[in-house]
Amino acid sequence: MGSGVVLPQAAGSAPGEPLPVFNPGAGQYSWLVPLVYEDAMIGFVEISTTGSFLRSASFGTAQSLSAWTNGAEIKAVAERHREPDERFGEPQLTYDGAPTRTAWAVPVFGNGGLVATIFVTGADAYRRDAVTESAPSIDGLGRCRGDSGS
Amino acid sequence: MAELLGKRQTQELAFLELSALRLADVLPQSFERARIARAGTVIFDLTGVPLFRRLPLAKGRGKVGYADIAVNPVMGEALLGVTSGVNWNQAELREAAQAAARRHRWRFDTIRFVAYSFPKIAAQFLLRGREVGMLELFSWQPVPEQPQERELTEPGNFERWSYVEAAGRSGAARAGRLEERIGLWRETFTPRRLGAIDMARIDRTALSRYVELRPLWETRKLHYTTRDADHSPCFEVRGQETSVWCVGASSQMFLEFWRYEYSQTRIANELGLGTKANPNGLPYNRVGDVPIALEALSSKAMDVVMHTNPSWSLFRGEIRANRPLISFVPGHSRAVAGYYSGLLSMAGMPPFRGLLVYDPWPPNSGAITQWENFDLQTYQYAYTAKLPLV
Repeated sequence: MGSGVVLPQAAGSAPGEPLPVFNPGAGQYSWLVPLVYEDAMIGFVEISTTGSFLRSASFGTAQSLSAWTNGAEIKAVAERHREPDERFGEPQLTYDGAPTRTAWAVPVFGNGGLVATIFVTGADAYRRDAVTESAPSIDGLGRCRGDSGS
Repeated sequence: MAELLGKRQTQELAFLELSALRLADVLPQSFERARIARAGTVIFDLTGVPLFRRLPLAKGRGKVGYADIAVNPVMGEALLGVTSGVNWNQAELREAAQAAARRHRWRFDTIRFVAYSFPKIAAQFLLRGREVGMLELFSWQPVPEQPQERELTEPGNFERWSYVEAAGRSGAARAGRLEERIGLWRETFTPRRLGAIDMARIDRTALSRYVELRPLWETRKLHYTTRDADHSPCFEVRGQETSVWCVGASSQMFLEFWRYEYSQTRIANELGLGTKANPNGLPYNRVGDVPIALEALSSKAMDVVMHTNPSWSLFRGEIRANRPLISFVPGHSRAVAGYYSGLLSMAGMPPFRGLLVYDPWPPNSGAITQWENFDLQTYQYAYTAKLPLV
């Protein structure tokens, strides 16, 4: 980046532990470095795996740091969209459709294997069933079950 | 030898150079209004001529640091360096040097500070004008004698060499450079102007009255109007209220800039994005519906245009005209409210270009991306609006 580039204003914020962001298929897409103020994640910087600056951002509403970094907490948020006979796989930080739609993907398994993915973005979550088929749209991949939470 | 700079001239230079660095934000706020010592400490060359003055900078009783300002034109530059957070106390250093010299049982009548290997400094002890010893500051190690015939190689890490002698023939050219710089300052800062300024303290405001800052980048964010003084960015982020309503949320941000305040549900309805309980995204075969919906929501007051594969100049031009854009990238939609363009680049690399993106993702929060690397993103469509009746 050129000199003089202004990153998100956050007096006292510090970079947190970088998180690998994976492509939905396979392979790493980028590194996401949280910008942390006390126990809140107020934004992030995203760097490609080749070291190129992709973007830096500050959230409209500060997010809980653990909601973006703690696997157990991410599963707890996803729990709202899990059916009684389903079980979770390991969450992975990825993106939903467009690379700037960063989210934790929690795979959901039923008797027939993978039945859905629950995307968790901080305190919000939504579910996309594996059987969903729809035309590509600007907002992700298609119709979802449920809304994005509270 | 070119004429040495006097004490007053050195202080003028210190004020101008340090205030200019403050104006450019190269020096942090902690330096603003710091007091510049009038005389400081003269640092000599091994040949015995003064090289520069080390001027402590202080605020009240707090020490901010110090600046080294040339007094000898052979240095070629006015400001040699600024050090922050380190105290330079000449009296204490003299005391420590005397104590160290006593351990060597040296007899001396003069102590002076010398750049024995610029910028490394030592205390030189003289008796009737002749050196009896030299101790490096702080380590208080004796500095070895200068070799009789130095080989033409880089000096070792603990070896004395004269800056003036090393400058040799290039000294005259360097002196010209400093004189030229002083001349440039004097074109703007006449004795009359300088006489009206308190030069004892670093002051970016005093300098800003006469100096135009030319930035190394160009940037613009949406303002309340096109007047530069109006507040900016005049834009608010809105999180998408469902996981698939990024077009709705982007439209909401876009419309609100023009003071059309609708709920996202209402906008989604106009765009055919379903309901909050049963939402859907905007299919690609309906990207042309966006201008129709936006114009309808403005009661036809807005003239909305869709652009395919929008260029940098489109984004830049719209922002400079104080108009936001909606930007579609593959699978996502956001609003754009500013840009940044570097004017300098590293060798072989294009200058950085970035957009100020108001991203409705994550849901119910959104994020302000400052900046999105323009050269690493695919821009599929953009929407712009004008008010033809204004």
